[in-house]
Amino acid sequence: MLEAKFEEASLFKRIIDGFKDCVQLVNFQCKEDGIIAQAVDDSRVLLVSLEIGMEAFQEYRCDRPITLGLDLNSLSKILRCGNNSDTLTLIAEDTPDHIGLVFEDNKKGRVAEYILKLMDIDADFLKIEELQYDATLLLPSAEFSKNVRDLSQLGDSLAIAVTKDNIKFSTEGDIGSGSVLLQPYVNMDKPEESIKLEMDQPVDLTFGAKYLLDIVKGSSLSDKIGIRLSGEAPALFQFDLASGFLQFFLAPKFNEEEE
Amino acid sequence: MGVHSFWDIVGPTARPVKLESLQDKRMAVDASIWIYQFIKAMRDSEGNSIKNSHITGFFRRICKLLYFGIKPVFVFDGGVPALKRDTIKQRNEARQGKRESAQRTARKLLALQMHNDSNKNPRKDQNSEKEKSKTPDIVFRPEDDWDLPNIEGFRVSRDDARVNLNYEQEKKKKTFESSIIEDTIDSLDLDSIDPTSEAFEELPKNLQYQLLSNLRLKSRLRMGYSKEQLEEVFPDSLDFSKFQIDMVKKRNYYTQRIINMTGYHDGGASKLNDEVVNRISGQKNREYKITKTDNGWTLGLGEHDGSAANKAIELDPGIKDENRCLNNKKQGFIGMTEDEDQAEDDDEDEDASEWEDVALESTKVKDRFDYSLKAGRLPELDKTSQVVGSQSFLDKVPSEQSPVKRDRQVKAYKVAIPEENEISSGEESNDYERQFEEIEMMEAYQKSKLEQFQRERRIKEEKEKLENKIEQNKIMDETMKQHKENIEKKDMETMIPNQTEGQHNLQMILEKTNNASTISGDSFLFGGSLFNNEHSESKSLTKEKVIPETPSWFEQKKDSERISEGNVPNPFTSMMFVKDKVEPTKNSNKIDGEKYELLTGRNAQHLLEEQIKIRSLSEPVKTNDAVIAISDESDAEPSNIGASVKKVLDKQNLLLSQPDENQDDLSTSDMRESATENNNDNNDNNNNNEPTVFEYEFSEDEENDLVENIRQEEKDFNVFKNKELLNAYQPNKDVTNTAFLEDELFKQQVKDKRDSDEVTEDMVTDIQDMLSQFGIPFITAPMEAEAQCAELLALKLVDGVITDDSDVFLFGGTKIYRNMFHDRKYVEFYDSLKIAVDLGLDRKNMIDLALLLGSDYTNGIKGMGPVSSMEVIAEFGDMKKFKEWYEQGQFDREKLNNESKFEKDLRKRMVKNNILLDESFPNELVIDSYMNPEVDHDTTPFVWGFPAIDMLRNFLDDHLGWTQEKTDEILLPLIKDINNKKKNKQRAITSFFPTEYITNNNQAVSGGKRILTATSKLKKRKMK
Repeated sequence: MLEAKFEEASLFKRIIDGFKDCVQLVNFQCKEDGIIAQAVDDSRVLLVSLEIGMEAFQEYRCDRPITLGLDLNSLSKILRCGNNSDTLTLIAEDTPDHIGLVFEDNKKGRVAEYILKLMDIDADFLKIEELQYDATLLLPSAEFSKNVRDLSQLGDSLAIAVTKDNIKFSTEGDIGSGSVLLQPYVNMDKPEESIKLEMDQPVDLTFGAKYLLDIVKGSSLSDKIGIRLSGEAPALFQFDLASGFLQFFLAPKFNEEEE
Repeated sequence: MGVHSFWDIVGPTARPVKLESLQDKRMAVDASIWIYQFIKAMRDSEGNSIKNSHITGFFRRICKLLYFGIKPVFVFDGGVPALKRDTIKQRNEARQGKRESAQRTARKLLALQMHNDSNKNPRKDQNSEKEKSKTPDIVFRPEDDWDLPNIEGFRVSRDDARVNLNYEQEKKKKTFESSIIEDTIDSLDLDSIDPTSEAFEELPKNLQYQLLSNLRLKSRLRMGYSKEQLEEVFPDSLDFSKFQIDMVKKRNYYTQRIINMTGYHDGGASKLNDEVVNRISGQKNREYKITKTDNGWTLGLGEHDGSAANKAIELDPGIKDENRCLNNKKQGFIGMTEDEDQAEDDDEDEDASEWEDVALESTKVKDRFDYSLKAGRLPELDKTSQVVGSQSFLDKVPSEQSPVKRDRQVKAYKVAIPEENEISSGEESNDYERQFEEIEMMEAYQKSKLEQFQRERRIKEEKEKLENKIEQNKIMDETMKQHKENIEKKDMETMIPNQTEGQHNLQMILEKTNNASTISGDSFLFGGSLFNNEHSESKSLTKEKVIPETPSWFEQKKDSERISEGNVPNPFTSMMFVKDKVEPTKNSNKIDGEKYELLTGRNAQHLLEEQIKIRSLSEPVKTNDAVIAISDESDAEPSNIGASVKKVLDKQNLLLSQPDENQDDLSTSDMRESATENNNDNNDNNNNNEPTVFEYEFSEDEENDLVENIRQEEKDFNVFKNKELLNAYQPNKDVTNTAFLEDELFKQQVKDKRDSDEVTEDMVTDIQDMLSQFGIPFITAPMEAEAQCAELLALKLVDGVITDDSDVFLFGGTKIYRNMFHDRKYVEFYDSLKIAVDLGLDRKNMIDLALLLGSDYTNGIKGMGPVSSMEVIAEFGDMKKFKEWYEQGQFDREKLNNESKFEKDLRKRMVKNNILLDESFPNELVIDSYMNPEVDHDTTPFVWGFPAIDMLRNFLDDHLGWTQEKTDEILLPLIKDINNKKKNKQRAITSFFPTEYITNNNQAVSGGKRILTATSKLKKRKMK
């Protein structure tokens, strides 16, 4: 039996909206200490990993592990039905074939109940190993998404180069090229606007712009985005939740001719 | 292919995989199965294999693989394991059986055709009856069992629309089926045909031709043997040389035969008639052509090559437009006259040479003189009308080839002159008449154009007599083309007159069926105008007409009556003269002209009806309308007799256009096209029937040959049916019972044909050439390609196997991509791991399945299906135990009683389905072949190259006839894409993290209940 109550329905909605565009069918594994989900996009370039710790919920109860195969398109349809300030409770049985979503407006006493059928989803499960990263960035998610959106208009790949002093986003396309240079910056008044840079060695990686555009959709979850880069590994883009995170692992592009 | 029903069993474990995700994966491609697939699948509409279909197929697939960035390694079958050889032998035997069945089908079709022939024959006999009526001294002699004697009653029922309709259907059926016969030739065993035999001579000419050419082609090949095979057959190279010499001899013989048949021995001259040989330039509604004429080559505008007056090269086609003529008649007529004069000059030279060696030259010269004299005296309008006359006269000239005909032509001309005189006198009476005449001249002009068609056709007929049927067809196509072009030249307004022309054409042809009516055809024009004139002049119209006729015929008859009455002495004498000419050849006992004419009229009328129905063959919808139209005309005529001929003609037009209206809306622009097509169809049919009809004339030369000729005609008819069918047959046409049966047979044939094709070594070589040009590695497995694929996977030289052969699992293949080329985006992915998890089937179990279900290596247990096989495997786990249990049950009665319900049921089922386990079951050899296949263990990694575009261009040009543009169109974007991907290759996330496949435990494998029980049992067994 699963009963998970979000204080605000909007949180779950933002989580789902954060990655529903890159993956459609996702197995949500509900465990005693929270919900995790993992999915790989169709082209097998982007891995989404979600963890919602039980602290993120107002109430959380899961007697035994349950796998909920959800179609995110259907789920987001239902989530749109609820008001942002409503509480949302997810209810599922031990061997469920459906999940119940209950929206409650405590002030008005309004209760909306929805049932979503579950799906049997076969998927690869990637064992995400703790990787050694060469560079770690922490920057405002708004800043990051602006850079990505701006530059992706010019080309379909986007390079992120990190040196000791700065971070450079650049692109080259048929119509032209562009770059944005950021420098570490500390804002004591507004710590969320600070840009942090830690690096062991310089990195220069190229990513598919369309995947980055998918990633920035998670920006609504957090003010900050953590980026971890490594020369020979997928980059990690992470949005932290109050408890848990939404992670994107993106495989880089590489120039075969240089190798 | 593989284990029977295996895909059904593992089907539920399939997972759709996006093709993009396969980028950069090295894939072993089991290509042996591909060639087989292409040969089987890529067929034209009649089931014949498309030449080099395997190359096209491979090319497409290679492009797809490369587009998705897959790195393919093509694996071809090498040798054949002993075990498989047995199975292949059985397969081949089955194939032989198929071939026999193809023969059987052909025989069935033949029987059917003969049956239909017998149904059809009464109709045929009508024709012969007609012959008989003209030549009563010839007694009908049946040629064979199917040739039935005359049925007197048929003449009466000829006007019965239903009877005729049936005839059409029958005929259609027949044509349909005889084309099937043609197709059948391909599937016949050519070796069994002896072209020297008399039986072969009996075959229709076109069938003979096809058989001969097929045989000839075959004699050129290495009898379908590969070099190795030939070496085996002829260990001594001297023997082989002898064999080759034999084949050359044979080929020579066939060639001779074909030459004799096609009439090539006349130096190919007959082939080069004055038809269009080359279309050299085109322009909308107009074309310039080089045409071979009697004395050289001419450049002309379509059929208007300037060789004859009415073929004058008109730079302004508008002159042809009647409306314009009507409005600016003077201008138009002057233009016409000018053209005429010019063309006349040309013609005179031509005529001179043409007429040189003819005894009748003096007569002709006199005629010409007459003509010019009269022409000089005639007022302007009359002159034009005469021009029309001369036009038609000139029309004839080049076409005349036999003195008799020429002679007749002159007579016809003579007939025309006095008529024209009369026209001139009539013309003087009043303005109304003048106008009327103008209209008439318009019509006459039109008709002269139509005669042009006729003329061409006649020339063709002459040639066609000499030529082989196939060549005839070619020419007819040309005629068709010309017709089409002509028709296209005209605009909407002239459309309907065109149709009238079509009808007139029909009549013309009909005329030719009787020698006698040739005159009518020739003088027809003038007869028409004469009648009209007379009609307006005196209104003394012949209401005494008993036999309903179409207007033109009506006119003709009127004319001839007048002639016979002696009102006009000149035509009368000429008529008589021609009649005299005709009489001896025709051996008919006609005494006076009138009777003769009437007969002609009647015959023609009947034939016309027939013809029109034939014409409507291609459009069954039209049939009724056409018949109605005719009858309407017939009905309408007596009442309309007082009205102007123009009106009648209009009505005729209208009636004729009705069928078209039924099919398409006249008002739409499409209509014109369709109407043109209809017209063409009509013409096609005319053409097709024409030579057949023409045979009559030919045969009439010698009465002794009549019977022989009828037979010939029948043969020819069969030939033309086929051709008609090509034009007329559309698959969605009404299907009668017989047709349906034939359809079934046809399908069967197509299927059989498909199954009897084989993969040759040349094909494999072709493909390998192409692969190397694409820079794709390929290997030839020592034995089975599937086994090698599995081995490559095991050696980690590839990441997956693309195959549709389920054997690959049994050889240890794990990551199998099936139906790679069925879907645009996804491919079915099978993982033996998942199969093991979901179904509990491991490799050993799969081999057991093969033992039960049958595969390439074993025939399996007859009667075992996938479900019971799964149950058996789940129950016993091992085939040895199954065998043990099976044998125990036969002897140990007591144990039998103690068996579980499942075991009892199983036994019951096995008895019921006659399932027997033979001594060798389970065959260890089979198990071993799967477990330890002979494969290449070389671990050298594969290297992928870059497509060599120049070589590919050449290759595709050589093999598929593709132009460089076509090749580039496909290859250049592909190569560009490959380059782009190389520069900035997207890596897959899965290459960084170890992947574990998870399935939902609550997921139910879809399938029957018994399968589910069996799989869960199997899974439990695995747990232990």
